[in-house]
Amino acid sequence: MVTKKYLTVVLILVASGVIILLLSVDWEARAVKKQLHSLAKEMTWTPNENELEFALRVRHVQEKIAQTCQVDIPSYNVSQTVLQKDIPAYLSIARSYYRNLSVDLRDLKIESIRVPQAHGIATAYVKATDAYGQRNDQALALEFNLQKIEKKWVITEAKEMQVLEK
Amino acid sequence: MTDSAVKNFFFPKITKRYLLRVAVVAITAFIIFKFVFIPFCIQGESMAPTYVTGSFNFCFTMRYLFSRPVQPDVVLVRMAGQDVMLLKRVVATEGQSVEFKEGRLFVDGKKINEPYVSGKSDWNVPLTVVKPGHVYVVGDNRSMPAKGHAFGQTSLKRIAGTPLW
Repeated sequence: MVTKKYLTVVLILVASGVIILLLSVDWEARAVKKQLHSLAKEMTWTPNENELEFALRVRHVQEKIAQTCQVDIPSYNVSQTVLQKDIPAYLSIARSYYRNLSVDLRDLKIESIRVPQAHGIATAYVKATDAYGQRNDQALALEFNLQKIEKKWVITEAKEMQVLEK
Repeated sequence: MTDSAVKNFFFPKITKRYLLRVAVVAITAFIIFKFVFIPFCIQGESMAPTYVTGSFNFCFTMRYLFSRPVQPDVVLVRMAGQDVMLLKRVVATEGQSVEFKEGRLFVDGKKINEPYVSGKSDWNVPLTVVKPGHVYVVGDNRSMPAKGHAFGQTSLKRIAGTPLW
């Protein structure tokens, strides 16, 4: 009888813990983070990548970018509005310029989220080797603006934050 | 040390007191290494030869609790968070002018002797005045091209601390 009582109390405690945990998780923020990490993963390539893999990656990147996306990354001399349909061309240029590239997002933090808008910051650790074999690793502080369109978070703006002002 | 003492050290009896002690040590270590002495590994050559790539250190975050960074302190500059930080040397503080001529550093028009810099440098950076609430930071490795080197003025709010050694 006593054991049954204790078991019930333990079960109630565990159930309340799980409910509190589920309620305290910000699922939208998690979705935004997942989308950004996934984009960073798609921005990774090696010289061994074949055309099929490249095409697939381009499609995945396109799915994560809004119809028009403002990109301002002075470290890479990029400051322009990127159209979703132009992404294959931009990625082809980037792939011909950088033999291999990998992007890792660290310190990713969703600063504000009010559906359908979200704002996040992260440090992008970019490891790259150009066509001449020269390493060009950089850490960039980036901020992102995202919008939820048809249940999917897409990036509307990516901007480099100025950490060191020359 | 007797056999039983060794045995007790490696295989202690799991008592309430022991578990409490483990919890206190774990929580203390977490607080210390998360907020006071943040461990980091150096990647990159911008602070060579003072700090070389692959070396390990701790960021002491309490260093500038009651003071401000001054020349020639080495500081860690926060980016989006504390996972990736820039390791740089303070060469000028607010209100001072900074200039590089043929690799030589001039602060307020005076040439600065920098024993920590080795190797030839050909940097030419036009005169800049450090804004209020900012410090001017630069790496020790000036033999690399200025274009590929991250340097400039940064807000004091971005200074996370200083390396422990």
